[in-house]
Amino acid sequence: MSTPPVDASDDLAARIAQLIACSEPAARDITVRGLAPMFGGNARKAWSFDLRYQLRGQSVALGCVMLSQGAGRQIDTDVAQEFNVLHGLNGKGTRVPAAVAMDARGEIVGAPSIVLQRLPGQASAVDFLKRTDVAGAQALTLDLAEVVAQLHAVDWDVARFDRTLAGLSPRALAERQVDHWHATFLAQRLEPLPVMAGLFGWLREHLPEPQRIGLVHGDLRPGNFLYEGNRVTGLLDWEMAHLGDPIEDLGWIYRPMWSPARFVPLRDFVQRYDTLAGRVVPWADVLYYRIFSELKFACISLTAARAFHTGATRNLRHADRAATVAPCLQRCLDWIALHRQETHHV
Amino acid sequence: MFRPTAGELIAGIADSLRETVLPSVSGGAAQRQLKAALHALGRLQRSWDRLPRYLADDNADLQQTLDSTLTTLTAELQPLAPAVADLRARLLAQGATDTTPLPSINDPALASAGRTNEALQALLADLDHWLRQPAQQALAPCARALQTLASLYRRMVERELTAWATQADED
Repeated sequence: MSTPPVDASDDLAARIAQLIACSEPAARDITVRGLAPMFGGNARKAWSFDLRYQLRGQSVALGCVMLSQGAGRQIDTDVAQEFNVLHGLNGKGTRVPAAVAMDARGEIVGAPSIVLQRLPGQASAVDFLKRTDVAGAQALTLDLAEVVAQLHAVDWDVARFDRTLAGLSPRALAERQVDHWHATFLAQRLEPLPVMAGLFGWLREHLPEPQRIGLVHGDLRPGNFLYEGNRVTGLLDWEMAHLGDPIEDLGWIYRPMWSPARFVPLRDFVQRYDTLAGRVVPWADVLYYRIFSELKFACISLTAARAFHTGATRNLRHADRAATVAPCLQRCLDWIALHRQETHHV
Repeated sequence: MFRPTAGELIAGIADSLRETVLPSVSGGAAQRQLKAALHALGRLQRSWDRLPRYLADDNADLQQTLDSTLTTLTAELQPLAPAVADLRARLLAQGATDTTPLPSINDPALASAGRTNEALQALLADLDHWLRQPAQQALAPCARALQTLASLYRRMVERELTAWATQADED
């Protein structure tokens, strides 16, 4: 039986209520009020609503967000994995929204969807990165270092996270990300791109031994966390979360396109992270994951460029994404030179 | 010389869209699409005539570097690895004329240069891949060849940056 598309019609509230009833069978008198679209594109749509119900004699009231997948996605992700990650983080001292309900296959809502607690704050990357109050922006950036250290401190049972990962060494777990993005590169490129192919070879040869394996957010950057004033209120967008070397997140946060280096230089951010995490991250490892991040971004650009080229998307933001690859490669080559200096000093 | 040039036309079209259409499109998907189109037109205006020079320079550098690298490996590796002999044979075959059309390239000479470029780049990627295999990594000639390729990569990326004309705030 086909399911109706997700839209903001009256009946969406009823479908959400049905989803909550399936997720919490003991809930009674479920109401969904104030349903309103927050943002929406080809890739993902979001609705805000207020949820109320009775549970074993208690009234429950919760501000919620529902995220639904669209057809025009550039990255393959699994809402079930995202939901399970958040569920696993709830109650572990991390600043993440509570995972409320999931419709993994879209059988109730009409598209694969998850319902999360709505957290306070704004997520605007532009507002953050253009802040004129530098002291406040510094405090917020250093608070982000704290949130990241808290996230990475959570211990995970690898086999429970993903049965297919059971028995893999820390190195093998970290290497899976290189494998993943290399496979993406091979599948999405429209021409041989030998420099990028060679850089993937470099990544394999220089993969650092992970100090620990933790949950990597995978897309942690301004725009993907909520903040109020100088405090981070919650991390968002967990679609790319995975187990791996947590240093990966540090490299991604400081990609030049959205880097908060104007407020806190990367070395200071890492130093703060070191202090909170109780270990010293080798600078060569940070450089390695900066290089990795550039290649990852280049792969996402190639995916977008191919999607436009083949007509899979008509979003013009993807039309010229291949032009962003060369600057990424230049940075990789620059940072490889720094990495060589760093590792020769050790 | 044809005036207006393609670059002038692209710039004029972009200016016209920016001044006459953009103000009447308020918010939403249509405005986002128009802004993205203007962004792409800006880069096209900066780069539209750079491809022939880019392909000529890139092909010459690739041909020369691959030739010297494979010649050196052939002389220094004993016994000669079959993979090197195969790559060298592929390089020598590059002179053959390939008339397969390339989509949206009208000039046959430019299409030919494009096909040559893709073939040389594929050959380079295969050489890099072979050099990085564990069996080759310990061999000094292979390590030297990888250093040569690293210098080539620098030159290639510099050329690409010029040809694409991507601005610092666009990536």
